[in-house]
Amino acid sequence: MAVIQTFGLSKRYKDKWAVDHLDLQVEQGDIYGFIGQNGAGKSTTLKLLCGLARPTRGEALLFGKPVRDLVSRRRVGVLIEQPGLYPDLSGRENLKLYAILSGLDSPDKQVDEVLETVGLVPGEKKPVKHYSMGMRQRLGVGLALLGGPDLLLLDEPINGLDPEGIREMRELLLRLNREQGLTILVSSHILGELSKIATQYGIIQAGRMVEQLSAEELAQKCTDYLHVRTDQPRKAAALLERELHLTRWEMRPEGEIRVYGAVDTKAVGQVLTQAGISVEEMGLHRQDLEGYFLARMGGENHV
Amino acid sequence: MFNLLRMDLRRLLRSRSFYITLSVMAVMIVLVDLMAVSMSDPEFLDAMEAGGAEISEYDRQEGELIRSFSQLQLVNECFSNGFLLLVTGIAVTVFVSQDFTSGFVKNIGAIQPSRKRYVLEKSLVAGLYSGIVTVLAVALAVASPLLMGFAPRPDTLLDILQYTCFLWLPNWAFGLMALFMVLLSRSNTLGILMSLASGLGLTAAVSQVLPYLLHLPYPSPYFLSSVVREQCLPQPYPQQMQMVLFCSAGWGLVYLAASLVVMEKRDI
Repeated sequence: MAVIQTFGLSKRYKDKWAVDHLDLQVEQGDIYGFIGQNGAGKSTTLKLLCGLARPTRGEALLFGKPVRDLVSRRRVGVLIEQPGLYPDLSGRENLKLYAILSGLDSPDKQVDEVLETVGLVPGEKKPVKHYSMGMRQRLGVGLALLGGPDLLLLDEPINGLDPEGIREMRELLLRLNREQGLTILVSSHILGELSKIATQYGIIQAGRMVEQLSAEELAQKCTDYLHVRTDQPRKAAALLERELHLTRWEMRPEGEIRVYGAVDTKAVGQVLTQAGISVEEMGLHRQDLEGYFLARMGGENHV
Repeated sequence: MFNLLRMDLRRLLRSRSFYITLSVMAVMIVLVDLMAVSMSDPEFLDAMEAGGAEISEYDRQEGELIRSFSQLQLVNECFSNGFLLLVTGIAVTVFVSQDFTSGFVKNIGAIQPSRKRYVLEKSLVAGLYSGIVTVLAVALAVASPLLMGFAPRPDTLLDILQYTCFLWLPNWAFGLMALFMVLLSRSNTLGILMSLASGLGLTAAVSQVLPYLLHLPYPSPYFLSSVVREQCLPQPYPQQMQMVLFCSAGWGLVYLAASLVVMEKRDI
């Protein structure tokens, strides 16, 4: 079931299209990594999805209903850019206010549960302005979790966090997805981190969706080549070409054979072993998400 | 329904700015009353004169006048200068602008998508805030001379309530002006500047220039600061009451409509 669907979603600011005919689909249970360069339209898309901005054209559906539908809206938790918190109040008080705003039953109980979930102390009286960045981000996620949403929209939730904070946030999101079945759409500049949690990816460029793909598809696409080292490289190369009908391969000067495109690793191993060629090393060379993203964007621009 | 209002009331009672506003207001009222009570005491004036201060006949007449004041006339001395407007304007500005400066408005917008409802509930908050400020201010202004040992001619409770109500209405409208300024600028600077300028009657004064040059009638009597100064009086005439109602409702509706337009036009 599609939790988020957009059809030709567009948003224009003055003479610039921040989001341009964006078609995005997020299925239930996904952790959807939303990737794009600065100004690509990620935050605007998230604002459109949670109703903070109105589309110039197109439509967005949450749980099959228009974004303005209050019932579906209640099923969404949002953290856009920096967490919106009243600095002079404590974290608990901020959550309590949000609970009142949401009209939650037994808000105190839910607030305490959420504080525990995000790893903050319920009795903490310190005003939010004295919180560390990590505490603020966790509290921001806590706000998004109040009311038990089915979908989380998180814009750069790990921005400014230290490595420990990033790890905690990653584990929190994975736990929420695994244990509570939350669907999560998360945008982040830190692609290495995103690749550790995302099950689906959407790449946006200049407001347009360039590609949507699953983690498995990404893994396949990121596989550049199979590299093989043997004791008889020339014989091995000829054998593989003949037996497996390989067309795209090369012999590196140091004797490494590189086979490009889809190839059955097991079959390569079998053919070589049966011919009595000893395999010293064999493995798939993969691009990481960042490498793939940069290649997809057609350059070395920063993400 | 009214969740935002409930939330804001809770926040108001927990915000430092609320208590700072009330404290500043209380200090100002007590100082004005202290001055009035001192001026009304002939012995104090004699002592001042003996101490070298220049006390004119006018000062003594003023003192006599204050001695003849009713409770509400003395209260009106505190508020007819637009001081309460200024306090309300700044207080509403600071309170509402925190939604935008803290980013909490994103949470509000995500839960409650209707911008119209946001503006309407904030307008009620402005009404409540100005109401609290007005009631407490009048109560303190009535009580403080008594605490200083000065007993002006008593007014009936009904008169005091009526005066409070007619003082509150222009204050609420002024609070709506502050709300509009915050929604327009998404910060507190414009709201505070306008509260200072309008509350002290500067805009009313400036607005005289164009009609003077064009030989048109002056609009300044309809400005909220002028209404508070000239129409919000103890035991007002029906015409004065009508003027207070007309100007408060008029300006209130203008600012409410402007706030709705501004909020609808821009994304959060």
